[in-house]
Amino acid sequence: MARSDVPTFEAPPSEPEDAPGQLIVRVHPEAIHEHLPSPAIALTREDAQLLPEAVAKPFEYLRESAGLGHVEPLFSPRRHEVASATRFLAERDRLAVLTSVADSPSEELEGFSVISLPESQRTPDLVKRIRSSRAVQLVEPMPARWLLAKQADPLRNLQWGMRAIKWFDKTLPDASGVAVGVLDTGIDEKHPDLAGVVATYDTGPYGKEDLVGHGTHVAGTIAAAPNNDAGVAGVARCRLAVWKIFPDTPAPDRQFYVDGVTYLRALQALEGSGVKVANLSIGGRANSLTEELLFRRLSDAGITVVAAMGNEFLRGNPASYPAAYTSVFSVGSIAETLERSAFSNTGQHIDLVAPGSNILSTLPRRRSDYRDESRYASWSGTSMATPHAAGAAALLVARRPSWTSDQVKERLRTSAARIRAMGSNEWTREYGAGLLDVRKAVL
Amino acid sequence: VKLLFKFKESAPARDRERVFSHLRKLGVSAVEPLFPDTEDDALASVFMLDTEDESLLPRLKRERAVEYVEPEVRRRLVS
Repeated sequence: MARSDVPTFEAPPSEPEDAPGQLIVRVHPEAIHEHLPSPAIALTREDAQLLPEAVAKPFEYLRESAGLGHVEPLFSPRRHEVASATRFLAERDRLAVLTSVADSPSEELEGFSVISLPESQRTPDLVKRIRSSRAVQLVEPMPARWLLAKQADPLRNLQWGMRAIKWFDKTLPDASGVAVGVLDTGIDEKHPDLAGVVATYDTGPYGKEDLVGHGTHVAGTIAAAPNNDAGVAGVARCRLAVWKIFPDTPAPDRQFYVDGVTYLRALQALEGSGVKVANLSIGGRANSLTEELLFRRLSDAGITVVAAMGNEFLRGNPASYPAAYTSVFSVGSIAETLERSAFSNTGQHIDLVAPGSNILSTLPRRRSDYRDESRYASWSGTSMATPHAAGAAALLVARRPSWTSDQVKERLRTSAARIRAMGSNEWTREYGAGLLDVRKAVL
Repeated sequence: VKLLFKFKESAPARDRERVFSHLRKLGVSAVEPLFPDTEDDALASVFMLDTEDESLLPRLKRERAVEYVEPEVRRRLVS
């Protein structure tokens, strides 16, 4: 379905006061009571003649002079039967007015009808004229009412991580002027939750499709469009500059490893690209002087680089790079219990933690040989925690555009929420400065 | 294996050429700049080569014009 075909549930732009072409009319019930047969009227032509002429007159006037469409008794359960009781319109009008009194469920609701007529005829003069009839107690336009629902993201309630980082607690700044770099497996830029989000997409020597889906998942957590009737919401309403740094086929050990040269050149391209934040949900055990040189330069250029702590806690808990470089902001993972995810690495270089277990986000629309899921799925890893922090950094840059990357990183740390598992400590190897707190960070 | 090495930015062109010449003699056919389009001195000093000769890394380390040499590192997804 094209976006223009999607119904909107928000207030119409002009916010009309009245429903066009409709009037509510109440006749004096007592003018009719004594003419009603007992126990009830049948809907026959003969019954139509029971309506006193004084009551029928304003309706006849409307039919002859104002193009009256139909009269419908507002609270009669037989209103649909009235509409087909007779082919003579004037008799139908009379039956409608009669049943508005005869069928009413209570005295207070007796005598109400809705009449329809061409909008052009519904003039103040006409209303005044009908109101002047002695048989008529009330005439007023049908008030216009509309749904008060805002467009939302149907799966947003499942995004526990967004609640944990207090994303829902505050109106957050518009970060559409901030570009976040994503160096990953690519992106499905036509995904309904990512449409229009991707500013640039450099696929290097590889195909456009994100076969693995990792990059699309990360991108959704950072920047999935909120309030668009689709899927999930991302942390920041920002733009993405995407570099595909992974090949389209895995290594013989069935792992996906970055294409080293494409990766390092992408890091170099970040500098001067206009990107203010970069997300690196990748890692490896060895450090590299070339890689470190590039990260140092990015930091000096005012770019906040956010990287994943790594998922090898149960396999020796090694330092993982690039997270372990001094100039890189390092993010560990917590689970729904607000305790460290069992896989999440710990260490001296950790800056803070963010939700990383069972994180619902976007996936490419098409399945691939390397992925059974499509569109949306929950994945786990410090890869999933990192984009929460990258999105928060984008919000912060939007709020404080003149800040250096060191200032951005410091603010993210000082605004983090100390969680129970940290005890009385302000910093721990497991949680760093605590749990990312978007609300406090952008104050 | 792919090796990355960086010349000292202060290393004169003749010293750099001597390293390239040495590598050619050792059978390395292609030494390429990692960032071919850069005008930045530091980045323009980084080169890469493919080799199966394990002795090449310590040999390059010993070159006076070379700041560092390292094997390409592996990075993978963290999910």
